[in-house]
Amino acid sequence: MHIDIDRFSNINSQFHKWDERYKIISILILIISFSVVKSFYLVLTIPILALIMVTISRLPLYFVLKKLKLTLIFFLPLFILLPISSGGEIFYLIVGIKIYKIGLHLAISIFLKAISILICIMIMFGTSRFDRTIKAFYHLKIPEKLIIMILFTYRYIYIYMENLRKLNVALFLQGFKKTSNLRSILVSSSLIGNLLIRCYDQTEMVYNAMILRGFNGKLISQFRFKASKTDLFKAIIIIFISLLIVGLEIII
Amino acid sequence: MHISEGILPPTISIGGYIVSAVVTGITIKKVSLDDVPKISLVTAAFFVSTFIHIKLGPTSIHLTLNGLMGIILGISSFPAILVALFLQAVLFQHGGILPLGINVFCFGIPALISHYLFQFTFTKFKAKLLLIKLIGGLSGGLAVAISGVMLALVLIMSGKEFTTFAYFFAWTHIVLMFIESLLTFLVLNFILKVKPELIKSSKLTL
Repeated sequence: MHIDIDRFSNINSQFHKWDERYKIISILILIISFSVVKSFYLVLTIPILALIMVTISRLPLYFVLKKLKLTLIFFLPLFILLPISSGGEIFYLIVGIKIYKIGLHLAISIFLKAISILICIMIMFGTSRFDRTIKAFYHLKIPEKLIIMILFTYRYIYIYMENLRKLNVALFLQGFKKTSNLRSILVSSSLIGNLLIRCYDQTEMVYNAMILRGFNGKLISQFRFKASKTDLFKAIIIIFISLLIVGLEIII
Repeated sequence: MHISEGILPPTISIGGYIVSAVVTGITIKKVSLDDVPKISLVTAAFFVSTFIHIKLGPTSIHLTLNGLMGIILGISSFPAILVALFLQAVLFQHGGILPLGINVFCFGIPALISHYLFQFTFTKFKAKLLLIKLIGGLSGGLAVAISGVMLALVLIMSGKEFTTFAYFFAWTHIVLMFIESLLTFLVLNFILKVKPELIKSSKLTL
């Protein structure tokens, strides 16, 4: 499974060149403005805006769509339940099941809003190296301990994914096949226990290795952030678009 | 299962961030800097453990494990859940950035409850291993059920149109509770057999 969100961070685009601190703040404001939108016509336009941003960022569309694919499955229960349970004016009647207008509108607007917001998040984290983006969060006054935790966890996820893959291969070679019986749950629980124990054994060694390298709990960054006028200009454009969306929402 | 992007109104998202920030602030203060790398490693292991799917009839479910996280990580499970959910939102687009505050609160508080429940039993009945495992399993399941109910309440607060969806949400979590209970019990059983110091040492359970 590919978890690298920053696979395309080496492309050259306006979003890639943008100072991460400004990028985070501006895109966060844009995301909030997306979440405020309620009017149906405005909801239809925000995915277009998000797609324009993807084009500018030059992130491959297949990469963005592939990342969104899994999310869509999570929306399925909401998409089925909302139109048939919201109440109000009936929009359509299929084999005795009432489909309500409010629910259908709500489901579509939640879906479109979510997709647009997720695309924005992908642009925020996909157009710079992940560690650089996280360091930018540190410069935005997020507590140091949390930043260190995020960076460490991110690093070790890759290692434990590899561990899990090896354990799964071992299970496969021993003829284990996942079914819905108690034995299968027992094996899965051992798998989790195994992962935790391996990681616990590693913690002490990793910690000692870090002490030897001079770790004192401080975040030492090799990245320097330097904002130029263009960075500020880009931020102003995005914040202006966000305010425009909120303004239109109030007017409509 | 957690609340996805686009559902919550901004007021509730911001409220979620405020309460989560307060609890994170309180809990992270008690974590010493030396423990940060260790906690992060265990968080990564838990993160990867949620990829282990359990087959249930025609579907397969993925585990929450917030109860077990509370048992093993103690108070630091709250910031650990924050980190895990943040990475999940950013790397896999599960959950989201705006509902992050609410999601962290709804998964973190039950983790703390299960930590206190487990710790109470552990200190009181140190010799009775079976009872410890049983209470551990129970608190693992309880954490998932409380999370489900809290998330459902948030959904109902977001709008009356979500009521049916909220009930569905709560009921799925209550079904998940049984599987999660059984699994937490089995994992505790495995750990206490293979490496009991992981539970018994006070290094990680702060």
